[in-house]
Amino acid sequence: MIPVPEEKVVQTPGIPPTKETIAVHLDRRSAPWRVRILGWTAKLRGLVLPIAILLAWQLITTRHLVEAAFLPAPSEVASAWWTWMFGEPTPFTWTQGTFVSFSLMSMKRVFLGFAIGASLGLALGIVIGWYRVASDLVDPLIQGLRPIPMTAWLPFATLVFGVQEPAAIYLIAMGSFFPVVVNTAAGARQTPQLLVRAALMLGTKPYKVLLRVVIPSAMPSIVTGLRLGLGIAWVLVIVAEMLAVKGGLGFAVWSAYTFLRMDLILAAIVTMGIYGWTTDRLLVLGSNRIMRWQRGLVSR
Amino acid sequence: MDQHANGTNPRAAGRIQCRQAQKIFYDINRHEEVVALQDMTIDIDAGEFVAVIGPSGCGKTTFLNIVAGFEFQTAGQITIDGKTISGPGPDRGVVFQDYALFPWLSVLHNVRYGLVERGIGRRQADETATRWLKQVGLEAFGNKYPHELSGGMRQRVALIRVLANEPKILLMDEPFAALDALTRSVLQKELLALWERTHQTVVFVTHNVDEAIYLADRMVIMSHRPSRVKEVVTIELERPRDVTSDAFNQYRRRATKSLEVEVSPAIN
Repeated sequence: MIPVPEEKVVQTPGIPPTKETIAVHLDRRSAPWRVRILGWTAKLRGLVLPIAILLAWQLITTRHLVEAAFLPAPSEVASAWWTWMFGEPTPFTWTQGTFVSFSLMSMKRVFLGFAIGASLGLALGIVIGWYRVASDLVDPLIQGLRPIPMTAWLPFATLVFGVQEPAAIYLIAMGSFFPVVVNTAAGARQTPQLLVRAALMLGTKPYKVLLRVVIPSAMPSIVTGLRLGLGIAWVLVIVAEMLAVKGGLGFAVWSAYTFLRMDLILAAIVTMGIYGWTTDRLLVLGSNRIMRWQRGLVSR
Repeated sequence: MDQHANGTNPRAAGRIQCRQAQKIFYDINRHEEVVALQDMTIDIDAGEFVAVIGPSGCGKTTFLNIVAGFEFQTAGQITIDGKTISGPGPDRGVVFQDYALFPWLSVLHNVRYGLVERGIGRRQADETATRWLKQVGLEAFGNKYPHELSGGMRQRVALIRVLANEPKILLMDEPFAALDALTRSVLQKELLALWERTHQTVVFVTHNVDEAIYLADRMVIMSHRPSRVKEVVTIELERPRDVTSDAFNQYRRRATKSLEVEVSPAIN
């Protein structure tokens, strides 16, 4: 007969209980080297297509399959870019040595406009997401204005502000405002009632619920809104610079078009891509730091 | 028990008196009234462990929510130490079935949450929280986030998050219903071990007969329609209770019989 083991389920506080404590979370950093290499190869795969396109492009141009004026070789684009960056500045053309100052102009407009639009969108989004009355009052207006394409506001903005800085800032701020306000409101609206109750029964004062529960709980939506807003900010800075202000990457690309400088058009386009990508990455990295509790949700 | 509790001695506080409490909702979609609680009358002494048991929809959770201050009764009177309830507060800790931990806070920060909210310094709050984590064997998990924990661990955190606040009343809404049987029985033992030291008033809502008999001093059996107290059974068994004993079985038989009558009309 098999001896029946004595019951040993005695669980006193202080002693780690049962099997479930062994559930260990596998951290990226502590992952073995094989897992890490797998991660790197996955990332390298993303470079395959861009490199292939670049090679094809070079091939097409060196074989003269397309007329050079329409599609300059990558090397020509690089050289035009180089001149744009480090060439001796002259008062007669912007194509030499203005890259840094143009970049800074565009960035300044993006950040200023985005900062204004995003902070207004955040504040208003939280309020209309949480307070029913505010939602009833403001939401119809926002939903009504939202479908108007932002570019349609450009003539309005230039007539009000003139062909000057405020026109661009206004346009960018307004463009980034909408995705931020809509997503923030949606996030705040979805705050679990259970967590609000939990906070209240633990002693949170009712006026602090917004800060303690609603904002952290809406954080993933807020970040989504910020990313969309930042993307639109980059779109609108280019549009505004094409038409409403002097200087900046949008001005450069439009001016290059009027001189039929395809090499500079391409250089400017690639620059915009790099800036847009970098700022988005920075935003994601920043939000991942705040949202370690949700790692992975917004990182891709 | 001290009937004139003045709040200075936490063990003498936490008496719940409920007189003909009624809760009626209005269903906007169907345009009809829904009676969640018909007529609840019960006195719960300070330091008493009471299990409220009944079929789904009998209003046991509504009763708990009213005591917690999340909802208000539409008629009747409920007082705690003679005072009417004006809203939720840290004197009544609630343990929810779905844990309700803050997913954006680490385990340690969840446990110290109430302490910090009440103005205790972070350093001291951290110390207290760590001490509580040790009590349930989770001191190594302070830096984890709730989603990295198992259900049983989360419910332990939810429990000590409330206990750290030293409430005079502990309200538990089917806290172990989502856990597997083994974890559930371990947590029941842990709960009793903690309670035997602190002795708050406990109102424990469950639909599990065994759980009610194993834990409580008194078992309040509720009827389905109308939802009111059907029977109150005092469980006169020494703790720790042996769930396989004859005496335990007698209580089980009696309660099950009483409940089956309530459930069958709900099914038919």
